[in-house]
Formats: sequence, structure tokens, C-alpha cells
Amino acid sequence: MKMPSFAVTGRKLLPLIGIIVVFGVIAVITTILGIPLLDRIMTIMFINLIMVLGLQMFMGNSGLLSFAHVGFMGIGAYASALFSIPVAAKAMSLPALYPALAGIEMGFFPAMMCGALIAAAFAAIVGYPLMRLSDTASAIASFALLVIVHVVLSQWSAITNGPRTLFGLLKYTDLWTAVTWALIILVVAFLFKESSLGMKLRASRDNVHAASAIGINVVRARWLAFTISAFVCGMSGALWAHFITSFQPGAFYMTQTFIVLTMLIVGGPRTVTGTAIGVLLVTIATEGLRAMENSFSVSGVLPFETVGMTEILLAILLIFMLAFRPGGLVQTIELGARRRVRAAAIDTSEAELSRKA
Amino acid sequence: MSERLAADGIVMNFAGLRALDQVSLSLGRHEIVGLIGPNGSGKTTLVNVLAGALKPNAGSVRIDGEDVTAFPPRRIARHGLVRTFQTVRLFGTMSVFENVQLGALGAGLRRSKATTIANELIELFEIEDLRDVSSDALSYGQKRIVEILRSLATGCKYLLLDEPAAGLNEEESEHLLGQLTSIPEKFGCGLLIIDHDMNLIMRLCHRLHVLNQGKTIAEGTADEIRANPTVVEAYLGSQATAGADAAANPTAANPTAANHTVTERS
Repeated sequence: MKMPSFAVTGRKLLPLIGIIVVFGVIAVITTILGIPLLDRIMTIMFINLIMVLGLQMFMGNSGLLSFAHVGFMGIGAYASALFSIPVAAKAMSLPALYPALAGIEMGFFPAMMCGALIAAAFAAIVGYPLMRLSDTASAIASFALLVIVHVVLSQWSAITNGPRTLFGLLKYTDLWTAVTWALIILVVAFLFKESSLGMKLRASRDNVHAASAIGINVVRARWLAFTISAFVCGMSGALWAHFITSFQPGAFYMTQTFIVLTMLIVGGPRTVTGTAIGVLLVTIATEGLRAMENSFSVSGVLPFETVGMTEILLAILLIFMLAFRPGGLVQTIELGARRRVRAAAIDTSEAELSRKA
Repeated sequence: MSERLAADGIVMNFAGLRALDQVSLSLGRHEIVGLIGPNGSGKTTLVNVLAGALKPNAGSVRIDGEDVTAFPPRRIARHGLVRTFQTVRLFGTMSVFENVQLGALGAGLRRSKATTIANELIELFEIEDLRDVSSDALSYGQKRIVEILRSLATGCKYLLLDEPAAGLNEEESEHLLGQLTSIPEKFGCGLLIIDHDMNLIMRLCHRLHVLNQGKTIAEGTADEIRANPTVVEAYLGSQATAGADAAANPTAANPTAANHTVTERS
């Protein structure tokens, strides 16, 4: 009994190790090349990886589509900024800030944790009633939640500077901060999926009636996952905010939601390796298309405007994926852990028949 | 109160149709009871009421004396009553082992304990070779067995099996019979079995409960039921004339029976 269970553990860890190595190598090459533009693209890719992994933890395991998570990223960004902007700069960037908050100044790490905790607390409060919904109703409700978060961020001028740019953040995040956290969250997302909670959640995704019939509290499992994933998305927001250093509420709305969902759906929401590959591929596609778009519009070789070509082609890519491979590139078995499922099943049923005969 | 699953005076109406009319049924922890009757007689509806998927218009369901009528399926499962589905419902993206393990996790057990239970059950039912196979890749008969193992892994006291032999060939049905027979003594778990395979039902069940048009028309041992003229007229008659045919061809599981699957709830 000991041997097979050890083998399973080893085999299950292989995909995780593989993907960590791939992303580690990407980070090292980026550092060696030392091209500022590439450095920036890769830093944002690693921050997006954290964001998409956070989304995957909820969406991939529960099977519920969520548009709300970029809102949690926004909450993490604004809340962490509120704690980290130096007191001197706050008077300028947030002149109407409540006095109780105006005196707070923390280091990046505690500020990021506070931001993530606030995002998680918000998700925990609004999530409990939402987790009773399924399918279309839950997707629409999560979309409404994104709209609410956006409206609040752009109207609560005292703490967000309203729809105007919030500035005054110090730059804490660099490539290796993003890489380190991304690799940590890769492990976390992987362990989460294999945890008891993750298994119960996946069970409810595969068959919600069967999950209830064996005693699984589906609402509670979804709610815990929603809260944990909001924490991770909040972290990604804090990292992003302290990389970009000045931003507006619009950064956490439709465009980012579209990019993040495309990454997740193209890669495969049900697997961690798929999610990571989706982030990598969509980043390459976006940046490649954007470079083409720019050179086309500068050179004028095409007889029409090319502005927006990137978004259109990405949308077409998404439609193709949904039409021909709706489960994403890596569907249900982690890349590198492929079992010879069918072969094994057929072998045994034949063996069984011959034994009985 | 003794350890029993007891349904008392269950009435269930569907938009003017009385699907169950004053049905009372009881199941002990060391019993196998068969629930039989023609298609549309209310068998699956009764299982749905017992398992909490449907709320009856009148009557009560008690587990070991505790009234669980208003409980959702999840809480009823935690009280020791678990059911399988007419159309097998496994967690398709997961392996056989994970499916069985989830039964124990669903009952609130720790991961290590759940692993032990899953390994023991897989060994006991001799499907070690299927342990790591994805449950989607199994044959229909194998899926039925895995669903039963997953239910047993919860440590349930009462297990409701909705047509466990449907879709199985004679060999598989015979194999299933052998495994089901031993469940009450091995697991202290009473079985309530719906099936149209009279050969299986008559040999397996200690008692039978016969429904027709939502009403109990007979209760008793296999011999008593076979000799009951009302039952023969309402249900067995057709099969009695068909004789061995019915037993040899259990796969002729009625398409009309599907109209009583679980009402979709979220």
C-alpha cells in the first residue's frame, strides 16, 4: 500500500516541478538579456500569472465562471496603496483622505498583506449569498459585482482619488519580486487543488447532486475558495500597483477581465499547468500582435487603420478555443502526468471478463 | 428509538399528480429491502424524498428517531443516509480512488483516514486494477460499483440504490448480487434497492415493498409477494408470463423511468 501512494505523489508533483522550471528559466533569461522592455513585459506576465492562478483556484475547481476577480485585484491594489504611500506624499495624492488613514505608512509586504486581506474580507462578505447561485445566475451576479467594485473605486474619491490617477506609490515590485510570488502561488494553487477542500470543490464541479448526496457542503466549499482566491487576486493587485506606481480604476475593469479570462480559458481552467501555459501563450500573442500593430500603423503598409487589431485577434483566438477545445489546452490531467487511462480501463475489463468466463 | 430509517405517511404531489400517497416504509441497519413496482409507480420519487432531494407534501422521514424531513440532501447524508442515482453520477475528471476517497471526505473525515478507507474498500471489492483509472473511462458496470463504494466510504447506515443492476449484463448482475448481499453484515448498513431485475431482487432482499400508482399495494417476503394476486396483476404478471426472459434481460431498463430523476436544484 505504501509504494503506490508514494508513486502517486511523485507523479502528481512532476507537472508542478516542470512548470516551475520553465518559468524560472524564463525569469533567468530575461535577467541575463537585461532589455528594459522585456523586463517590464515579463514582470507584468508574472503578476498576471498570480492573478490568473487566483482566479483558477476558484473558477477552475468550482466550475463557476467569475467576472468579479479583477475587482478583487483592484481592491488589493488600492487598499495596499492606502497603507504604503508615504505620509508626506498622501497629502498630495489623496488630499481628502480620512485623518485616521492619513497617518498610516507601512512597508510593502505588510501593505500587500493588508490589501489582500481586505480583498478577501470583501469577497467573504459578498460571496456567501452568491455561492448559492449556479451557472448563468452566478456568472451574471459576479459581473454585477465587478461593476459595483468599479463604480465604488471610481467614485470614492477620499480613498481612491476617484476616476483620476492615483500616484505617490513607491516602486517595490521588480521582476524577481513578481517571479518569487508567482512561483509561491503556483505551489499554493497546486496544493489547493489537491487538498481536501479542492477535491470537494472539484467533486461539486463534476456533479453537484452527487457531491451533496455524499455530504459535501458545496456552498461552504465554494465560499472558502472564493475568499482564498480573492486574497491571491488582491496580492496580485498590490504587486501590480507597486510596479506601475500610478493608475486609475479603469485598469481593473473590462480590458483586464478580458485578458485574464482569455489566459485562463485558453490554457485550461481545470489544471494549474494549463493556467500557467495560458498566461505565457496569451502574453506572447498579445505582445507579438501589439508589436505588429505598432509597426503596421507606423509604416502604413496596410490600407486601413490597425489600432485595436490585437484585441480583435485575441477575441478571435478565444472564440476558436471555445469552439474547438472548450476545456482549454490542458484539460483535466496536468501536463506531464498523463495516465494511460483508456488503455488501463480496457485491459482490466477484458481481464475481468476472461476471469469470469 | 431503535436504529431504523422510517418514512411515515409520505404524500408527494407534482402539479396535480399524486406521485406518492400515504407511503410508509422502514429499513433496519441489517436489512435488505426491495422497492419494486411498475414504471411511474413512485419508486424513485420515494428515494428522492428519503434522501432530501424532494420535500414531501405530508409525512415524515426519521433516521434513528430524528426527524430529517426538512433537511437538505447534504445534512441527510451526514446523518447516515446516502443514495446512488438511476443514471450513475461519478466525479468524471477524477480517478476511481479519488471518487471513493471523496465519500469519506464528504462525511467529514480527515484525508489520511479517507485514504485508508478508500484503499480498504477498493481491496475488498477487488478493483485494485482500476484504482488510478479516470472514472470517465470505466464501463457502465464498473461505474455502478464505484458509485456504491463511494457511498459506503461515507460510513452510511442506510444506503438507497436506485436500479443498481440496470445496464449490467447477466455476469455483472450476478457479481453485483454477491457483493451487495454481504453489505449489511460487513458495514452495518441497511440497503433499500429499486430494481426491475426480479431475479436479483427476489434472491437478495429480506423484504419487499411494492408500489403501484403511488400507493403501497403489498409488503412481505419474496415468497409472499410472488404469491400476492394484487402484485401479480399490477406488476409481476407481465414478467411472470415472460418467465426467465425478464431475469435474463435486465438491461431492458425502461426508458420511461427516467422521468423521475432528481429535480434539478441548486
